[in-house]
Amino acid sequence: MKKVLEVVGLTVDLELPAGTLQAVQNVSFSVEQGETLSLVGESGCGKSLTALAIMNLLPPSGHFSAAKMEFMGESLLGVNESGMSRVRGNKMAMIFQEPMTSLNPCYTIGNQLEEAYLQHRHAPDREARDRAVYLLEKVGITAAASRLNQYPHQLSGGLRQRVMIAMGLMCGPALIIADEPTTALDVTIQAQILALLHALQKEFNMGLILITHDLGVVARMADRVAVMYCGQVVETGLAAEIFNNPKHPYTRGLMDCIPVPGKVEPGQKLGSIPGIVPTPIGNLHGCLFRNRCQYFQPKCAAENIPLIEQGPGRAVRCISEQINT
Amino acid sequence: METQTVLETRDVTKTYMVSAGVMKTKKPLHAVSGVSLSVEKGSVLGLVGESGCGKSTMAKMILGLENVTSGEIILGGQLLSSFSAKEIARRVQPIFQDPYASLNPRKSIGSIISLPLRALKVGSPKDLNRKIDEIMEVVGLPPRTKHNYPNQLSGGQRQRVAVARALIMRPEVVLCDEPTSALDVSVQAQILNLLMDLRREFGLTYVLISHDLAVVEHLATKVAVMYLGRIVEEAQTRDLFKRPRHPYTQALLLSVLTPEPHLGLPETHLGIAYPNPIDPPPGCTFHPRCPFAEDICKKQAPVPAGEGGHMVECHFPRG
Amino acid sequence: MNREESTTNEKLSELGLKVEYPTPNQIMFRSMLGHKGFLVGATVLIIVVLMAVLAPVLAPHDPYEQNLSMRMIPTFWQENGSWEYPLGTDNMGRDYLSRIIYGSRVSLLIGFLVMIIAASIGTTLGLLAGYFGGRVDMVVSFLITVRLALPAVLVAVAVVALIGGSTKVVIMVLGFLIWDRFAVVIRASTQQIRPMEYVAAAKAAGCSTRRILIAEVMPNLMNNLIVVMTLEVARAILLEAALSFLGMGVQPPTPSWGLMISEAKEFMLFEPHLITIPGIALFVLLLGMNLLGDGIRDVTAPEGRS
Repeated sequence: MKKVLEVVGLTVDLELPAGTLQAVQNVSFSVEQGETLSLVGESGCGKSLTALAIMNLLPPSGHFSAAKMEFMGESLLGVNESGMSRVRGNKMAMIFQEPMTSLNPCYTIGNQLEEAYLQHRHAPDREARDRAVYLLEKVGITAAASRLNQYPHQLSGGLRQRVMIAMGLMCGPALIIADEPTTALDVTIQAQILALLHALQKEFNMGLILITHDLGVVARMADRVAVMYCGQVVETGLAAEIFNNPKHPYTRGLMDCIPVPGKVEPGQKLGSIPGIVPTPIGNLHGCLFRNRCQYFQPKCAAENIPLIEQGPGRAVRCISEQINT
Repeated sequence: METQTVLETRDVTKTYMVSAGVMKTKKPLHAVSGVSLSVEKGSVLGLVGESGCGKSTMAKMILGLENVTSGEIILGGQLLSSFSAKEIARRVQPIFQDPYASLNPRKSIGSIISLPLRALKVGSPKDLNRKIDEIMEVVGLPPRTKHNYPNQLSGGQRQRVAVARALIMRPEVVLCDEPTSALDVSVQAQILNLLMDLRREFGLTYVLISHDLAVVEHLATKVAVMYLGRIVEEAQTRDLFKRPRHPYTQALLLSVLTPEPHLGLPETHLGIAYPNPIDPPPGCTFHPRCPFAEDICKKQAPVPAGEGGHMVECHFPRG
Repeated sequence: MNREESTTNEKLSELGLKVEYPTPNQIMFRSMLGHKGFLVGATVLIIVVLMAVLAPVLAPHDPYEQNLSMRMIPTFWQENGSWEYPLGTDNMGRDYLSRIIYGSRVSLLIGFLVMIIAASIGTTLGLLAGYFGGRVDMVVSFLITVRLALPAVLVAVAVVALIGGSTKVVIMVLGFLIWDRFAVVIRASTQQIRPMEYVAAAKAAGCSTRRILIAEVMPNLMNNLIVVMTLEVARAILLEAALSFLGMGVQPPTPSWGLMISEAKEFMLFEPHLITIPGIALFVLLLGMNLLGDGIRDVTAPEGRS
């Protein structure tokens, strides 16, 4: 399987009034063709900024650097804005969370769908239009040709997200980055959109980076998972492995927290992780999870904790003996 | 043990008149149609539904922020409409979803928490500080943070502030409108546990509005499922989750993505039609999306039926 | 595992590192000190205010004192100029520097008083329209539209022509005319605040509408309000100058910069400094006020979220 994206040592810093936020610290991962990698973590873990850094879409207060960032074998580092704009929407597509605001209310659906195609392929209008209709039908929208003339406000949230997916597919991307694509949608619609995304990925053999905080979504969709906490990757591995046998205390804590129908007796408390996520500002050292971890030892504060390999493709950022058995 | 009905709604309907276009006359939007609920003291009623189902409108009516178009809401044996706004405020308090928008960014935490006391002129100014400290301890906030501002607190802490504000008056009913939807999973668990503890400690009664079935299953004693303004199924929590009878409830349950990788993605067979409250379908409002719809479903609206405290509104209830 | 706090703002973060979480006011204050436009504008305003307040101390002569034997003395940098009358004298023999200094009083006084009247009217209308919507909004919007259809200067001129000009009349007329921007901005801001959950929470907590408007909504309007206030002061000062120039505002012999420009019209070709000096004074003050207003807008716009 060809590697679509390879990122090594990505670091993202944000300038805030309170100081420099080390939002992403030395993160590495890769995505292959036809594979779904999920970046999962709670708010503030840096997963969205990772995606923005790959596309070079960070806000003005953000800076990133990486040892390696290769897309389809070519380095993305040092590529200027015009170079990046040839990649974005073309071979690398992004689907955002809010279908309400991702579509421009002033333009028709057809207009927005065709825009990327016309821009990147320099194709005649007819061709762009045909492709738009084809993709709208692919994402399950009936009467596609008439929909082209509709405006975003005439569609529901679920339909808009389908349009967003179609937009991403217009130029036949090799990689889709989906940032919380279903968080803003109703639960029943969410299941449908995810199934759609999954089917399309398989059909077009694309790589998919699925960014979410919802472990249920990850479990059902992802092939491989990278769990992020406070800007670092704390655990990676195959989805099945991580869910059946979570190793990092944070991952375990998260699994305990999730309310699952039938999991706990009524009246019993949910597992929870005490404390709150620290702000990664300042001279960070040691394990960033240590103030909330039940396996805490003094050595956790002293050294920087590396990702320890636990098997092929499986790694955990923890030096506790109880984890590394 | 006697169970007192603390809150009751009888056939409540709420209709808004909305414009359908520039030159057209206004059309009615039936946000809530004929909802009847009852909440016993010390219990938790879970109102579940997705966007457009009317649960937020129900919340506003229970809080007295909106009037009912028809039907009655009865609080502690008395008509809600007979209470003044301040009297309702003493009895029913909300916890809202968005911890960023539910706190006034220009007010200190102490001022936010004590607002109900000050607005209703309860207690003396000297008492105020003591009460604020008390409630902050109860919800797990360090009392020193009362001089801080919302932007200095995390999402979970802000939600604790919202809980403190709701509980400082010891209301009869706490209306939780998606209290944890905007929070991270680990924080959500903390807040849910907190709500559970407080309910036990103070004997509170909750109306919990949520789209998250897992959260509802954890906290609620009774669950009512709403769709397009009506209650389509209602049962004790255990019953509903063990034996969901309405096709919509079944689809909802199926859509809850549990972290079990081997299960893959669910197939709910719902189709891509979406509920539009302005133009509800004739007959059973769910029929365009229902995988089991038959002819009668398109023509005739089903009536509520059921036994043993398990109510369903469907021509062909499953199970 | 409990967080410790040394002061309200500085905390030891969960990892034992010192992190500061500034309050909204602190964030604002710091941006102010870094914003060049704001600093320039604030400095200009402070200088002019000091000039106005300390006028009796700073002015070398009485601005009203006429000395016909000392008419039309040039400025100190021209031939025949002297340090006794640094900016020369006008055609009535009055010291120009003193008149400029005292003129700042007129500009500032009228500017601020007009702004206060306009702000009161406009903010009230905007608040009510934005909060209640419906019919109230319809009425207020209609009033705003009517007001915008009237050209301010012409109306002012007409009123003054009817009842005669004086400082008091100018203040009242302008105050009742330029409330439109307040109403529009406050209405829009209130409409944004109205659906926020903290307003609903305040209502649910038993707050009366009056209390909600004053204690919950107003504090969140202050940023926008202050920006508009600064810009409207500038507008009022300019309008006063225009009216006085037309003879419809402050009456002679009061030293108003607008009036001074008017009186210097006939000497424009031969004694251009008589017209340029008050012109420059006006320009500097207005520039300063506008920079200040823009600065406040920039500084308060992106409110820091943690």
